[in-house]
Amino acid sequence: MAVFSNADNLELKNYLGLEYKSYLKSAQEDTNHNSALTFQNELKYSFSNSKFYSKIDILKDSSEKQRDYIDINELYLLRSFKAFDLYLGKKIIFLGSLEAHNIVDIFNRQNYKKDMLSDYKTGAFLSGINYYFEDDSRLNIYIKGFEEDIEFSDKNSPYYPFGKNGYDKELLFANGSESPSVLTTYLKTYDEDITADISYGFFYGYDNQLLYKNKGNDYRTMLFQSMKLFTYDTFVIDSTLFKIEASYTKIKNDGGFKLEDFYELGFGGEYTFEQIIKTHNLGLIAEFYKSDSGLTSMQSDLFFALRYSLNDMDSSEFLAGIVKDTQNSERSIYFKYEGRISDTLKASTDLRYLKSESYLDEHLRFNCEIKYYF
Amino acid sequence: MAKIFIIIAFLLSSGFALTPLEIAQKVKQTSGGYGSSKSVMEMILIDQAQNESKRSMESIALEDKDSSDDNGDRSLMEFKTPLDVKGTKFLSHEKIDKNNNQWLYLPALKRIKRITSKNKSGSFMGSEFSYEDISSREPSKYDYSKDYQELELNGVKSYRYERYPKDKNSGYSKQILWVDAEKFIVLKTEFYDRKKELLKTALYSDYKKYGQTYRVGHIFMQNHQNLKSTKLNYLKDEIHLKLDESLFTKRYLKD
Repeated sequence: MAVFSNADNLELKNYLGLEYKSYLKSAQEDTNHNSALTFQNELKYSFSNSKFYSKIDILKDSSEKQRDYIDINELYLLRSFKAFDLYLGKKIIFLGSLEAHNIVDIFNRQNYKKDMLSDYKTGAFLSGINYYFEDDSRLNIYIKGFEEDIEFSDKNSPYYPFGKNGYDKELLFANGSESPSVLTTYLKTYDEDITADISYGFFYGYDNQLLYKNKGNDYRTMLFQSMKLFTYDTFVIDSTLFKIEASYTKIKNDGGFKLEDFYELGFGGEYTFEQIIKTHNLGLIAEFYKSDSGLTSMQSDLFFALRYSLNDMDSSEFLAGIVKDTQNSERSIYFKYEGRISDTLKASTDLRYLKSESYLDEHLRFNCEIKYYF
Repeated sequence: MAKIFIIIAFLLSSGFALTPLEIAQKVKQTSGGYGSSKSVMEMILIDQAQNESKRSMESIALEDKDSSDDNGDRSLMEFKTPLDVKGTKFLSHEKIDKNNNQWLYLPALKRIKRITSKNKSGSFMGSEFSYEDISSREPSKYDYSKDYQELELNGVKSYRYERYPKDKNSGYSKQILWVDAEKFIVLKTEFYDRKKELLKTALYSDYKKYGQTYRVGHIFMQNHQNLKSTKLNYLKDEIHLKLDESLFTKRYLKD
């Protein structure tokens, strides 16, 4: 249903981008930088009570051929009825409330070729229903039809996780042959004694965590089956946002990897100081993550971030954050600037330092990106 | 005899004279009764060097009919330009005596984010309007001066009075309003910052009357401290649309 525009309506949004990444320090010495052209087309077409939506992403790297892609990232049809919406196609479903890491954002997989260190998602092939109750709560049910192959950067890239070994993108399934995954969430807003957005969820299917199986000289990704119960919530107390994400995962079929059932928990708060200098705002975010799973990097991690917004014509914003593992020396430090150069030109630049026990070891990266919107 | 006339005249004048609160209530009355509305707006941001930058958005609003509860008007706004924020949506459920419920839909992340409404004095989209300036002006959210003055503003007989925000998070210590004495529409507002210095002046013009309801067509906001200004033009404004309450829910925070 088109809320704002007339029934028959076509909307387009495009950008052409140029990104540059310089690896000032990396375990892989073969490549010291990447530059790439990016393009995105977003199309919405509304007609009667339906909507067609597509999002196409293209990336062309100057040197790393394996990183190139033309992805139909989302392509779905939405049909609205009085009390429910039906979806069919490829779509991204966001789940979560926290800022540094979304424990419960389990449905869509990451686009590792775009950026291993960021959270760019790829659409999942699904059919779904969103049912809206009269109290503004809603029940969502999605069935993911099948999984797409998972690809990584080129062997020469610092973000290739398999060292000298090869990688075969064809997926392995712990239960032998592929079967659908099911996600159900129930969301409700409370506004009487407490002000909060509360969500409960159930998932059965292929977990978002990946296992890697060595087959001769090549590695292949194995997806294991699990059952998850989870919640993600935001509470508003005075002017502070308190956020929680938690999940319990029961392993159903791990293909012989002997995984244990595990929990993940994250909680934190966000507060903004207004007008500290003229119209500038300073936001403080603090979060803590805990898990007994070896599959996640957030086992006992503290996150602290400052967000400085100039509130100007160009929406300029500076962000500085640190994630520190409280049990070992792993840490990640992040500085970012984002703002508009003109009404159609947007620039962002960031510097990221990582000390990890993974294949990335000690990593320092400078990244900048400019996007022209039309 | 003269004494009696004076007493009668005093009684009549005190009986019919308005207080600033009553003027504010009449302003609400003339701007209210819209039921629900749909607007297309354009904002022109002008910096000190007179460089202009354009923002456009569409919004729908639903007037609260039940004055006995704590709920106020509801609105849903979609940003159209600048293109990098196109598709961003802002849903607000106004509360009379507490902070509003507000959510933002971020299309790049496909995420609905709850935001606090404490940020009343923050700039709206980098303009000289604050969130407080664009939200509805419920008379009970202010204290008022005891008296008002009757004077002419650009040849229009008007009432000039002061009001003081009750909300401790307001960016203003005082506002001085000029209200058309005949039509009860706001013509001009001066905004004083927390240090009690003149911060901004808003001029309201191009009013249109739909039935008994006046709708503003143009607002010019001049910031006297940073010398920037913003023009807000209502390019399209429809009221009495009978929009359903369900349109003002999180269901519509999506692509």
